Amino acid sequence: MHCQEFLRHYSAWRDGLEPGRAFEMEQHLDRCLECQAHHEALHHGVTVLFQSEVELSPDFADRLEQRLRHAAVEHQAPHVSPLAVTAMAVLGALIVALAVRRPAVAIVAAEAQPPVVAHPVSFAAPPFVVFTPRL
Amino acid sequence: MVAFSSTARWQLPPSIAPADPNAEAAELILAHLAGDPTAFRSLVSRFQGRLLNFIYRMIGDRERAEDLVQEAFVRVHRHLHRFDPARKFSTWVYTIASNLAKNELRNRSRSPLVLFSSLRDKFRDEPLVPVQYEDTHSRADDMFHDRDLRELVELTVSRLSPRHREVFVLRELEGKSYEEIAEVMNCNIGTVKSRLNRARQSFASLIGPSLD
Repeated sequence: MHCQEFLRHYSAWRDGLEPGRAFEMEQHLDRCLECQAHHEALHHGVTVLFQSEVELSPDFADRLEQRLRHAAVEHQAPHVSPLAVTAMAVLGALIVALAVRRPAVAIVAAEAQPPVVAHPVSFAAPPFVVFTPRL
Repeated sequence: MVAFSSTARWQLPPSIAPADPNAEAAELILAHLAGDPTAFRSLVSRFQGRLLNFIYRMIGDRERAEDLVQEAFVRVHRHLHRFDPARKFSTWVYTIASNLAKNELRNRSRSPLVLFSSLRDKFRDEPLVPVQYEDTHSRADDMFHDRDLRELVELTVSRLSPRHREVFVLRELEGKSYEEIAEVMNCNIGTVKSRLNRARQSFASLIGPSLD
């Protein structure tokens, strides 16, 4: 086994996932100083990390309790999300815009209609001629 | 209604510490939902220390990590009634913690203040040199108590990419299975294996010269 192959299977071997390859891996580790150094570095580094674990501050419990109480109060109170407020504002603006725009639309619609033009209609009897709007 | 008392402590006696934290977590959840005022406190005590260290390794700031652990438990408390008992509680709570840590890193990258990004920048151009010990006759075990070495190892973890750091911490320090890691990181087991192999190689390569 070469170092490259050892390193490729190292992680799985370390976790015991390749029992069939274990003997070969251990053999390589016994005779390869470079791979031994790799293995030792990981092992020692992890050991040091375990030794430098952090601990909770003494007031952790009290602060958590306070946060949970606050969260419970917030949960009970009617909550209006910022998204809902924005949506309502947009809707309001839209309604106002439509209200302002509506007469203009009516005027435009009125202007778009053809002007009423009276045209003469003749009769045999008086008044002989009347002007009626063209439909 | 939050079932806490201001004088309550969060630690349970070791004599009743569970063999399987998830089995006991499931019992505590049921007890909490049934109205037991101490159950949630006990649940918190089971996981608070591990979560603190997990988040701390991810973001590198102890104070902020503690805030995020609290936020994780607030979310757990809020959604506990929807928790699927078929799932492992630890996987669920680690997933919440992982997401909070990732959000923290993302926010920090947008407005960089201190911590990993700046630490990395600060030390980027400096080679990792072997730690000098005052007493050269010390046994190897004694050397691990050296503060400089601890800082160096922590710095090495911070030099891993966030994905490699997370998989490395979950496996090496939290002892999670590949399946759990896959669920927490929202990826498949093959990805976990390859990321873990690369993370271990990177860590060993970075810390190796300093341990000589």
